[in-house]
Amino acid sequence: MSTSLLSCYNLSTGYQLKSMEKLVHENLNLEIQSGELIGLLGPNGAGKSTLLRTLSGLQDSINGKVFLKGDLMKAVPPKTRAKTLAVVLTSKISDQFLKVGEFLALGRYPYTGWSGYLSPNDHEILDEVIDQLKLGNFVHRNMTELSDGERQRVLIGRALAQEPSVVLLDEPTSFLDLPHKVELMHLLWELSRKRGVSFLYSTHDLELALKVCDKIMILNQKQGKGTYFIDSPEVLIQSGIIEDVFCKGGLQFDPYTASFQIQQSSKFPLNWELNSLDKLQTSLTEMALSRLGFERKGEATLSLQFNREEQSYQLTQEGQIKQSCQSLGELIEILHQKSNDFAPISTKINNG
Amino acid sequence: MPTHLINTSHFFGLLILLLQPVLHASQEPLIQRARAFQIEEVQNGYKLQTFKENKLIQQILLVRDSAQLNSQECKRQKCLKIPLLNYASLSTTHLNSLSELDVLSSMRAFSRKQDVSNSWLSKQMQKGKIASLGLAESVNMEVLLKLAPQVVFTYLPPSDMIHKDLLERQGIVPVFVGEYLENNPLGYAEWILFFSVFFDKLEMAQKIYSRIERRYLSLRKLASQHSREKTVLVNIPYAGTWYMPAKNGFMAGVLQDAGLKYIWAESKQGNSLKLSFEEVLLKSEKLDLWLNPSDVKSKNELLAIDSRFALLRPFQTGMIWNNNLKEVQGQTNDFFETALARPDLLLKDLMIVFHPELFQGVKPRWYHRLK
Amino acid sequence: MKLIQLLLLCCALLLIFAVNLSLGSVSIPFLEVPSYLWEGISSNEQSAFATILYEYRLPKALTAMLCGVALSQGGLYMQSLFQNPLAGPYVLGISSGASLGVALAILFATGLKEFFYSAFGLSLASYHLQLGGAILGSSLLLALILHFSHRIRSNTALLILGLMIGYVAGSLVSILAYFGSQQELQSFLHWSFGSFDRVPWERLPTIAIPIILCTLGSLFFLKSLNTLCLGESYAASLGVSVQRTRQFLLLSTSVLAGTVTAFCGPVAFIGIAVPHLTRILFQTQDHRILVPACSVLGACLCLISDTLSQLPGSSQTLPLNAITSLIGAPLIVWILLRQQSTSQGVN
Repeated sequence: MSTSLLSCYNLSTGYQLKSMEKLVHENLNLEIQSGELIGLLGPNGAGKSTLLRTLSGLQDSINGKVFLKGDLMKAVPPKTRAKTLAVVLTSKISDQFLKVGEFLALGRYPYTGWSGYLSPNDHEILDEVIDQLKLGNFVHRNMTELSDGERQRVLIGRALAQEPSVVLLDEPTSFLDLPHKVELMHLLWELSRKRGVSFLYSTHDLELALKVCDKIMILNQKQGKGTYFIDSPEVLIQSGIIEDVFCKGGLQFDPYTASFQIQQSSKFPLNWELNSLDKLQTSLTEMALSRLGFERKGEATLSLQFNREEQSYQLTQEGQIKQSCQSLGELIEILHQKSNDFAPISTKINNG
Repeated sequence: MPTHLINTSHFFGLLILLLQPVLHASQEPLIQRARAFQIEEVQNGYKLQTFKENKLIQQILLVRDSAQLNSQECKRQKCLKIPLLNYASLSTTHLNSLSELDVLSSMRAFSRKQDVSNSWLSKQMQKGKIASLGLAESVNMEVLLKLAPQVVFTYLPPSDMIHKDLLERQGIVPVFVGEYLENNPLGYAEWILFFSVFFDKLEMAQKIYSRIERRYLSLRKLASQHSREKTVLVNIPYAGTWYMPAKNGFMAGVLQDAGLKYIWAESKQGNSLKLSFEEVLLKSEKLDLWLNPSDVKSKNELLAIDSRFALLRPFQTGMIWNNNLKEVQGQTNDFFETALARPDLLLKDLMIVFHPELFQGVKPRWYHRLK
Repeated sequence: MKLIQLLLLCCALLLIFAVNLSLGSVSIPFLEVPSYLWEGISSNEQSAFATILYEYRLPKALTAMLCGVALSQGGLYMQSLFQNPLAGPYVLGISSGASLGVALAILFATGLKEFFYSAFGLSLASYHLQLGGAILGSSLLLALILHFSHRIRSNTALLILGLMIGYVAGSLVSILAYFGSQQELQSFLHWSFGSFDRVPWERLPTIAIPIILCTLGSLFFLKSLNTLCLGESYAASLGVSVQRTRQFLLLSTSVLAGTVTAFCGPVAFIGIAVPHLTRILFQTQDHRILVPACSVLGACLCLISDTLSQLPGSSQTLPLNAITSLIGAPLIVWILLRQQSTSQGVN
């Protein structure tokens, strides 16, 4: 406990609504150690932002305590807190005339004097951050000229300029495209490993989180009561909590691939035997079969196999070869046709 | 019998008897009707006091000898050497007195050229010989400092002037003229005496004033003998409210002296009445006469302002008289410049309107009936 | 470099100051102005020109500069605090409060004068009462705003509150004006036109001291002002005392705006336009540059407005507020259009 950077005990989060307290979560316990990357997930309205704001000291808790490096958060003077804890938020920034370099320099606020003059040490730290996040090209550009991905990097850069031990991020990847999402996550992962900075970030991207985070914290609201789980990704998958919380309306979670699948309502029986294919081909073919709605059933009349000598896929029915093709692409077209035969699209839907 | 005793006491008694008027005169205040100022004759000069709402606003010692300016007296209070060599004025209501005293030529600056009816003054301002200072609230300090007249006649109390100290240090004395505070028509006219002492022309002013007084009083007496008891409506509404002259005011006084009944004479409001159209309509049946409807020249103009005026009885009987005859004739209206300072002329005008039979063939100076 | 720009602006200020002194209703030859000015400063017996320059134009120019400094700072603070480009020093209803105080002072002048005389033996002039009324009115509004600022955390809500209080005060003024006499109305109207020539030498310290104190005070909040653009959450996370900064900005703006309004009447537009103009000219949001730059630019604009309202050469003058509005409004329109055309939009 004494080694944790940021921790909370019996924390109840919530907010005041017309002199009434609205409790969002209660009895939360969390410990963030050095160099940890923790993902905070949960459906919308589960209380992720509230928790982040309470942990960062921006909002008061209803009950319980938050500790920063062993000291009670409330008792830590704001400047000292700023040197340990930084935030990255989605709030609006008036940045019409702000240059990237100036914006980053704001992160040095807890260290500079009343005039905000930057010492050589401050410049060193800023240069390091710029290097690390590869911001060298846009230091002189206006904040308004940045793309979304560049902007997020700059926001994180400003937080890092505070030389924090913990950074709390509120949905940092929400507006990014996939490559940038992955890039950002990779960045956080590297920073946690190489510099020992801990990150607690909220996100909706469970799959990505399961792959990079050291721990996952899941917040949920069940019948007006808040619940939470926190553990390493694998343990969470094993416990089946993922399915409990996230699988709604035709969503399925595949623990093997740690990914979500869309449940098919109709299943067409098919017997397939793909031993003669290599691992990748087998996996891809099975993925296609699953997506097209085929279920593996030994007693199915239709069966699929791969003929190694002829290097072709063969569809047989009651022993007779019905169709064959060379490539996976052709197979997919044939199977698509077959699935239409099984469950023809009704004309009503077409005209409606 | 000791005849010398009887003779001495008789002599003294007679002397006292003869001297009574003189003794009384020196004890009686110089200013009889005006309430807003007072003049007292002192050694080689005058003591002039002005009042507003019974409080002393300003006291000036006017001295004839410049040596007196260094005396103890003049260290304690404001002193001015008379007669003035030059001055400035900030209101058209001063002009009549100044004109009659024949001191207009000493004027260095006036308020605004567009307010002036006096043609000589107007021309002088046009030529730039007499400067323009603007309204008293926003008097042009630079021009005033440059011209440095000895006195500025203003309707604002000097203590309210932001730059009073600066002006006085430059030898410019702001003098408060509160003639607009007078309710008595003759009291208003008496202000010619106020201006006169600045130019050491008190006697001239007293002659002018007594002439005005005599004429006014005789006209009043004439009116009282032919009292008609006509009820009068005055003014037109401004921004929805009908502002009427106060029952104790100047205009009400003149109307009453002309033998008319001012319809709101019984009202309780003091300085200036504010009435709504409805209240006026209510009394419409009793109205005989309508005076001073703003600056309209015809009944049509009146209707154009508000068609409801046609409901009022004076409109229907055609008894609407306005004081802008001069404007109708193509000249500038000098009513405000002259009529207030010459209540005798105003009274005569009003009596011509109401008792035309007494003044056969005499036309009013300012009033005409609206057609 | 920004500092060089600032220096150039200061030079422009000196030039505009010199022009303002040299122009007026009375024509004084430009080259002789310094000698007359010196005569006014040094000797007791002065020529008319010396008096005009030293006793009238110089205090007027100094007042104009002080008001420019005060209003532009107030506008900058309000725009930064509320992150709203339309905010200005009067957004907290300060000028309405001052107007209310002045209207009451004019309407009840006689009664008040009597009261002060009988109670304290003070014989006060009308402008004393108006000054007191304006200061009291704006202070009252300041107190209201500060009180509510404790309870209202949202800046938008505070902004609206200030505007509403301002409207209430304004409507009270209308009611008072309705019941006043013609002369009282004229007095009030004249006050509301605004002017920089209402502060003679002996009263200059009274207007200068609050403005200078607030300006010096701002030095301690330059850093936190810079973080306000990030929003209150970020600012708090950087260790900024947001409540303290907010209170200083509210207090300072109220004092600055209240002082200007009390002495010179409400002066429109300078507070809103100058911060925008400064940001565009200096291309920065850094308050360490903005605060001095706004002050200097504000002083320049006020001097220019004053010069124009004097209509040099003629004895006629125009109301100050008309001039500041005629200069300020097109400026803001130009700023808006310029922003749109650079396709950044207004924040």
